[in-house]
Amino acid sequence: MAKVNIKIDGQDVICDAGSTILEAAQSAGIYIPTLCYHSDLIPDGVCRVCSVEVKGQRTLCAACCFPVSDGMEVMTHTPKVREARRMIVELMLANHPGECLTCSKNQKCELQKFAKELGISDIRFKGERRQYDIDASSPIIRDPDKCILCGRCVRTCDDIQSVGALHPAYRGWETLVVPGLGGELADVVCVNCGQCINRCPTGALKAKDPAPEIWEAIYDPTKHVIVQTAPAVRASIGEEFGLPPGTRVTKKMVTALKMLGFDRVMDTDFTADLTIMEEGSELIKRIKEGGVLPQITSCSPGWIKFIEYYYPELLPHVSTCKSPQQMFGALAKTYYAQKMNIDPKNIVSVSIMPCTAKKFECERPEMYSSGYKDVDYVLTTREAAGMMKEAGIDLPNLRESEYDDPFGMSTGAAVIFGNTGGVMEAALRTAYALITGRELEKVEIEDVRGMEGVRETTIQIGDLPVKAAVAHGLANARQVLEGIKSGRFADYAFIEIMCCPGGCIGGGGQPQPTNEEIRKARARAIYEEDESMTIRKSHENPAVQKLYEEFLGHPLSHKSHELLHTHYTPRERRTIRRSEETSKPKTTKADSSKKVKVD
Amino acid sequence: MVFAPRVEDKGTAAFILHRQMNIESQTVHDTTYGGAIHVSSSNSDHADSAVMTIINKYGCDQRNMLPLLHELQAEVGYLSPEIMEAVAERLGTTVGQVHGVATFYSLFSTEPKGRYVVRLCDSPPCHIEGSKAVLEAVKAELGISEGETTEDGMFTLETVSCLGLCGVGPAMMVNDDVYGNLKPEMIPHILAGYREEN
Repeated sequence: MAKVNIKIDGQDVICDAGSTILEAAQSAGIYIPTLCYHSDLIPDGVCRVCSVEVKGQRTLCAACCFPVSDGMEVMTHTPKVREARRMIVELMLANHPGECLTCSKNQKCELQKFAKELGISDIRFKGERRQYDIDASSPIIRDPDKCILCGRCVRTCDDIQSVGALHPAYRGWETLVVPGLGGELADVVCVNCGQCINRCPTGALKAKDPAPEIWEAIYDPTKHVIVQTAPAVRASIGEEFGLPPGTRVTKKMVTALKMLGFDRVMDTDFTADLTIMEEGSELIKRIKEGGVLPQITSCSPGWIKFIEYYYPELLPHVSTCKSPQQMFGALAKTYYAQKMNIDPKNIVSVSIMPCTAKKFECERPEMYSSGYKDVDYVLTTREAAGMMKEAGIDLPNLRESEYDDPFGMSTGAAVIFGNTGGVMEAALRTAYALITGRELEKVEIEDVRGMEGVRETTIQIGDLPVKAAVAHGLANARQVLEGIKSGRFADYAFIEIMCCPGGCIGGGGQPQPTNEEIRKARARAIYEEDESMTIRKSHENPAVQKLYEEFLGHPLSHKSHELLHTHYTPRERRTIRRSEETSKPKTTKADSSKKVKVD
Repeated sequence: MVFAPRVEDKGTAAFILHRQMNIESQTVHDTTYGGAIHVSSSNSDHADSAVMTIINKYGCDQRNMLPLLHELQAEVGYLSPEIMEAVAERLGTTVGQVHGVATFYSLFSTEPKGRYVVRLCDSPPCHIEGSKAVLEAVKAELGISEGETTEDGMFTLETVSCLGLCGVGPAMMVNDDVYGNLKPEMIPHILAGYREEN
């Protein structure tokens, strides 16, 4: 690519032609503050916090979207720039509730950060503040008072997820980011992925936190409280305690959860292995018996809700397997309850997930197959860390301990479920063995790894070439689904789709901030965890084998179908209208006919 | 390719322009939001046939959104949730995008209005010429405030940004009729004329 020479604050910078001032500055290690800019998103240049002075330009330029040109001279902190930045942030603060101490984003808020960086000690402007009701209708809570209208959530939902649940509406002072037609989030097409939360610079978006109910259950002597931890959580929860992204804290996390008072700390990885047994067997059955192919994975509840809304005609492609979380839930209140001789009604089943969509999933009416609510509460990684902090647990310095039986044993194949491509890799490791009766020599399947939006591979299993594809992020999923409709994937056997960028490691419940570098670090940690495991293929998990022996019989058995498989519901993409009031004329104050006066 | 399909253009000089072009070219990839070329989905069932005739008259090009919404509002009087959904479906965009446009422009309404919509300009030129007193006169005459509709459904009162009639401010429109050089005492007479029409 052609290079250009520019000067930033007197420093010579050589950068790619066509890059922005911000990108050029970042490549040279020069900091320019940004607010509406996010490295995952196309810049919009609406907040102007990144304003810089460019020699020859009449006005300040937004560095995030102003392209460089040869010989350009950029000044990032002239008095004019600093004054403008200050003014912008002061105006935002003038219309911002000063609830920092009790805000979910306290100490992680980007607005708070700028207020400090710019040395704002007084808000000069006093005036009206916008006040709106909090929308707690869905697992994602909106607090419009804290919204600074940067539009990151809108771009996330549009560009990364192609859902478009949130959109700016109204005008001027009244401008507001609203779901659909301006109602509540639960009423519109939203898949609860939580990617908007991850990119919100303030506390305007957060997830519904069930910690109070869980604390109560833990300290209720009649309740047996068990917890499961998803694969991706172990590679990220350390970040909440200041550890660098990609630090594996699996066994310390187990200790922390035991210290919190959970009666059993078990692993979603166990049911991830089980998922592979069921889903792999389903795939082999579909291939042998001429079922609907390609089969698509079903672990990601945001993805499931997406296909239910947008491509219900393709639902027969989706595996009937429940997600590992829900398999765990169903077994906890059946097999585990029997084994432990505990009345399932006294079991409180908690899961710690990198995901906000799991909060919706556990409420689905299909998820009561044990006769009880299979999973009672879902905590995100952030919320689980919150409980630990509340209890004064200093995770990085804890001793290590092991997961509890009977759902504590897992394999390397299960832990990679946390990465995009991981379910595919785990499934191929097992499918190869189930079909050929031999084991793969090299278990790492590099073609399905990485951060490309859609990846494809062909694996030779015996004399059967199995074509497979992987997609992450719903905009990429949409491409694949369009491909299925147009016949491009007609000869593919298996497709893995994960709702969030990077897979679960980039989930909507993960520590903030998020960007590709952080996601890559977490993904690396997950692969390291896999390499560190003695058993790396799901079908070799002795605890899973024992479960089949003692309880389920065999994969796809009647009992498996009862507990581990589910069905899907096509959803109308129409805004739910709870009240028809909005379509009636507004207030009437007086009867105009009484006042008729004719000169 | 990175995970967000349009991010791949990041780093080229034209990417901002490209984003705009991409929005326009969604007409070509009409499936971007699962929008159907022919409106036949359940969303449209809720809009009546006159509305569907108008919607189908326009192409799937998002650039047609404004004229389409204008014509629908003229036909129905306001842009109902059903209409916005049908338009989104037709243009292959989200209902939020249509709602955003419909609530941004003051000449669109997402709520039913009276038979006569009184739009009084409150931009600075009209303000200097005394639009505030005219507004008070209208409010007193109709017994409602801005944004409200009289109980008999006859009048809706709105203040709007510039009507482009600054030369004859204060200015007002009642439906398509234009009034300029207004004085408060002219208001009862003007409004009485509309009452008499019925």
